[in-house]
Order: sequence, then C-alpha cells, then structure tokens
Amino acid sequence: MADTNSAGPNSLVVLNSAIALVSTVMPEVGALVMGLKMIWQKQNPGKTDAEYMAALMAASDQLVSDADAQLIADGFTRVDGKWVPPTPAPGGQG
Amino acid sequence: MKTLALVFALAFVISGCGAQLTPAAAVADTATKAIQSASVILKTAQTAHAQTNPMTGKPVVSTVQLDQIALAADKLGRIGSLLSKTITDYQAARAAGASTVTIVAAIQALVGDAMSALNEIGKSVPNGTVAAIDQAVASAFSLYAQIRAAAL
Repeated sequence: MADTNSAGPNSLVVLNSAIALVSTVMPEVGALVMGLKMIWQKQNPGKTDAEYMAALMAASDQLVSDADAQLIADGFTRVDGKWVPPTPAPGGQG
Repeated sequence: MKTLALVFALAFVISGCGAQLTPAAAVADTATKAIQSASVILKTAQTAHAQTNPMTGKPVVSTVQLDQIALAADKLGRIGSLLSKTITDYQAARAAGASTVTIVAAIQALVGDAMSALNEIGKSVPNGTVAAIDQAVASAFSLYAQIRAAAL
C-alpha cells in the first residue's frame, strides 16, 4: 500500500535544490522563492497518508481520554460500552 | 526578464504541488481538524464551568451541560478513531482494486453520526452561552460538511 502523498518528501528535495541554486546566483529571487516555499509547506507539509491517519487517531484518542476523564470525575461509569450517570444520593437535589 | 520568467516558473511549480493530497489524506486531515475543534469545545466548556456567571451566581456552563458536552466529545473521539480505521480500509480496498462503495457509505455514515453528536452539543449549550463554543461548533460542522461533500 504505497499510496503516499504525491507531493511528499521527494518533491521537497527537488524544491530545496532549486532554491539553493537560485539563492546562490540571485539572492533577492532566492528570498522571494523562500517565501513561496513557506506557503507550499503550509499547504503541503509532506506527510504520507499513513501519517495523516495516525494524526487523526492521535487527536481522537486524546479527545476520548479528556472526555472520559471529565465523565469519570463527575461520577459516570462505563457499562457495556455506554456511559451511565451517577445515581443521585437519597434526599439529594439531583 | 529571464529572472522574472524563472520566478513565475517556480511559482507555477510550487502552486501546482500545493493541492496534491490524496482524497483519503484530505478527509483524514479535515477530520483531524474537526476533532481538534471538539477538543477546544470540551476545554472551553471546562473553563466556563469553573467560572461563575455574576448575574445568576451559578457556573457559566452547568455540570449537566458539561457532562453532555463530555458525552458528545467522547462519542466524537470514538467516531474519529473509527474513521481513521475505515479510511485505512478504504485505501487498502482501493489498492487491491476492490469495490469501495460499502466503505465510502460507512465513512459517510460516521460523518453523519459526528454531525449528530455536534448537534447534541448545540442543544445542551444554547447559542450565546459561550461564544467560543458557538464558534468551535460552527467550525467543526463546516469541516464535517466538507468531508461529507468530499469525493472518495
């Protein structure tokens, strides 16, 4: 499954070589191209598809962890995959 | 003149490289942003819960509201994990030349579930209670709408 981002690390190597070449000959143009490279990198950080999946998994796991910590702190318990609210204390205001 | 031509040529190459995420990566990236918006919603609600509304003397976000947000956030996080696995299945099926119709339908169903969970947050914390939550919910909705419209 080599379905990687087509504008990945190899594209970046080519781009860096081009920038180095231009910067040596014409520093002003090099600066301009550096700016364009920053925009390119912002749009396309050169991650593989697997890294995008891993980022989604990590963000999701973090959200579940934070949400579960809040629910447990408020007395919820997880039973058979479902959250059960705490039972109100007798005589409490619920 | 040669310089200008070179700059334009480079700019053309760079702009051409910019939008080449695969559809699966684009969906995963957008979903990650939506999940991060949900994290912002949860943290904002926790902060608002610790603050007292001077008009009522009660927390800006009540414990009941915070719990509802935490339940929806938990649901969103689990949907995100499932989405990551399902997109990976989609890529594997695509690479193997198998049909992706069922998997795409599953991804769209998960996105629908995520939007329902966001609706629950909208219902539990009425608009105007905490502006940052309103914004984050709107942002997450917009991101999920993008995923729903994405061509996989």
